Amino acid sequence: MIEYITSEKVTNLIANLPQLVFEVTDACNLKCKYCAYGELYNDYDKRENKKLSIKQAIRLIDYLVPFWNSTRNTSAKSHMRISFYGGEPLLNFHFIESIVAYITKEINCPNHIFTFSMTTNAVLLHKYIDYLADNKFHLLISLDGNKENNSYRLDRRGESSFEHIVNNIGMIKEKYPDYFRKYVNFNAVLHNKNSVEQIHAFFKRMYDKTPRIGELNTTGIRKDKINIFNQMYQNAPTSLSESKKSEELENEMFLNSNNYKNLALFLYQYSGFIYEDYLDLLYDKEEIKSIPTGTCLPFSKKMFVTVNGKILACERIGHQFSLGQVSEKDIELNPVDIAKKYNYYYDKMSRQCGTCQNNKACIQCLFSIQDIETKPICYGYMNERRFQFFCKEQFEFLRKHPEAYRKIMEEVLIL
Amino acid sequence: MNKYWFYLKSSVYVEFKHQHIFLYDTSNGNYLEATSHDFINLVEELYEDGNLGVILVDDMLLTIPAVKNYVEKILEKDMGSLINIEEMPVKPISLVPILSLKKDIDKLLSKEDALPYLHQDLGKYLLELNIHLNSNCALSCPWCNKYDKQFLCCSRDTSMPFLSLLSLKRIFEQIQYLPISTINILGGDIFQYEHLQSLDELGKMSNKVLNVYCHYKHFSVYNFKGIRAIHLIIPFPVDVEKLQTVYAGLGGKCIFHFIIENKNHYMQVQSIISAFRMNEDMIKIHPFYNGKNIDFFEDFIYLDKEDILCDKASMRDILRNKKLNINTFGGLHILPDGKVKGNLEANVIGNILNQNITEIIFNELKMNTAWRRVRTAKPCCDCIFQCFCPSPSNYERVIGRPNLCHVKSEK
Repeated sequence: MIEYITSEKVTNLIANLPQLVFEVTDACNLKCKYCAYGELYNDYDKRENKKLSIKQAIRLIDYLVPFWNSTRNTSAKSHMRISFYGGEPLLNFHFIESIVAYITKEINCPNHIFTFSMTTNAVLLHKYIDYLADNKFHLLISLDGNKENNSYRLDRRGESSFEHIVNNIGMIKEKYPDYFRKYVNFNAVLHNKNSVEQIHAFFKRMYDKTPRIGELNTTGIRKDKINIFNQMYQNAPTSLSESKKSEELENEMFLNSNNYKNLALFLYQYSGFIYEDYLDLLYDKEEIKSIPTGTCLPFSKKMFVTVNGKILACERIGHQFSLGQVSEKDIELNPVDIAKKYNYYYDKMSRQCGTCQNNKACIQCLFSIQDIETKPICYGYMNERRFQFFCKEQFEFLRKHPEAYRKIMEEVLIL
Repeated sequence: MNKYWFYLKSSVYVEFKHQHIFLYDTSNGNYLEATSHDFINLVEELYEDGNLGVILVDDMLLTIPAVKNYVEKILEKDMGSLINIEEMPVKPISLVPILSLKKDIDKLLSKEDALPYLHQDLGKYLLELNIHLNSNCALSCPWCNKYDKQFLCCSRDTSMPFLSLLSLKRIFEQIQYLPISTINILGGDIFQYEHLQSLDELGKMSNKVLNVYCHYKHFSVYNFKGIRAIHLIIPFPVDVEKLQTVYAGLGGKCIFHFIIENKNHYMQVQSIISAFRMNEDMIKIHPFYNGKNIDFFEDFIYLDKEDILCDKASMRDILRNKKLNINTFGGLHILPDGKVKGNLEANVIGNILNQNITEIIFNELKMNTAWRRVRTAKPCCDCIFQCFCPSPSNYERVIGRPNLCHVKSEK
């Protein structure tokens, strides 16, 4: 089996961790129909209204700090984001407050700048906004658009949460206008009760913001819920194309739209004029062996800790793919095992990836490939014909949006 | 009237200067210079955003003699195409080269939301570390302290301390996990350095290989364990007998750095190579500007157009010359007192005693004392070969000219 990554590499990635995410509780004060931890899915640990132990979290931080302070950290100044996730994280505010205090006052990381963020449904923001604004929390508020658009986001009594949430958001905007402008963003889930146009129009009108728009998660769906899921599911490119102002909307969304994002990825890999960094400009790296799939290297983007203490590479990955554990007494985080695990999965995909014509621009995460353990099939696979069609699509889009070429080349920083 | 799609290949780089353009095909090395106003306008049109590198031309335009002439040359040299639109009704696309360097320090510095990326993962940029152990030396080379301003060489400074063991350990500790593999050890006379054994052990433990530079007259047999090569510095006049002894003692396993000031020196070097039966791979020749030998430099070092274009340049080569200095990028000099420079003649950018090496790297990227010095001064900025010439070297600075070439821009 080829060693695509080594344990040494994994250790270095831990030392250079950009984000640490805590699932502070699996409890939630809403019961959204499409929730990834709800009735439609089955690839997560059972929700038990648990709270992540502060002691365990601190033990993990203490374990990681020596790595962050070591010479394995290759940054002049590391900007690390500490993020709080749920369930609804504000249901465990005490945890958040404790960890923020620990990070800002107790640990010694002279080369680190810590910032904080949270994904929240905004139901409890009225209680805690002063604290969040004081600590410059980057907030990502989940809201699917207007009241009708938002009708899958129900409280525990099955009633709409919309009015209360919008009131809370309005309160923040009025009380902390600068904070709102700089630190508050929105995430909307696309489904059959909204559309890209409606979502976009709502947030533009209400808050002068462009939200992130995500589709329903397509992995880990319960077999007996597939029909319901299919009814609810809506695809963003299709939704956008159905809009009467699709062109204008797409231009405004820019890289938040699939077409621009695909074009940017295409140009990044195939134009020949985009270079990652100064080393890329110095040396031709054609000979470097490429790693199958577009999966992020473990901990290259973040480390996610579940409420049960499982350590994963991302909050979007099924909990069966845990890479370690924080227990009452111990931390299990073995770079050798982690490297072995990734190499095992890479090996499973290597044959498909080896013949895929688009492997250079792949963004497919191997953990979202169905049946990865048995017979994985990547639906993003491109043979020559499909790749030519894909290239043709990119050129077609570019022909209609010629100004996008220079804009992507000169303005886009990191994809 | 017939209409045609006209475009240059994506592999063609165009340098636009005042009333003068230079087209270079990186796929085959073919090139074309043009000063015709009409043709220059045509090429500029290709670069307009809405055109995506392709424009429509007609028979009328192609009757203009200059345009016709240049378009024919383009086609002859396989640098572009002229296609009848009836054969290709859908407009083709030919992406013009626009350099996009994602982690361009100037770009990152200008964007507030780029702050997290600014300082990130800089250790990999350290490519060559020059550790100056000491500055004491008993020799009296005629141009001591001038050689090292032009190329890697030992130097003497009686006021300088030697590099402390603490500094040495700190250096190796900091580079332990960095991918850097070229570490050059310089002095004074490094054999007088009292921590030489510790250095050797640190080198061996770190799995980094050391290149030891010393004057051939200083050379002393020392059983280095963590070493790749001995580099002997040989200025003129050469004590051939002494060199012979040293050469024999090394079993021929070293690199010879001859410092020459004129053609006569060069001929003597050839004799020595022949007499000692040295392998060409073992020889490096460094021209030295002594203030009085400009003729030598003009005859043998200055470039003319043929020299500049003799090797096929890749798009990467050309775009690289816009952004970084290939002579200095990634190199740091750590002086005996711990101060760090990107180039010996540049300003200090940090001190290894109280700063991390990644912080010092960031300082260099931000302050740009050496690593990103490119040909932006006149006359290079007005020259069509601006991005084809090698990066500015120390020679430009000591000679006092931004360009060491015989090229004159045509007007």
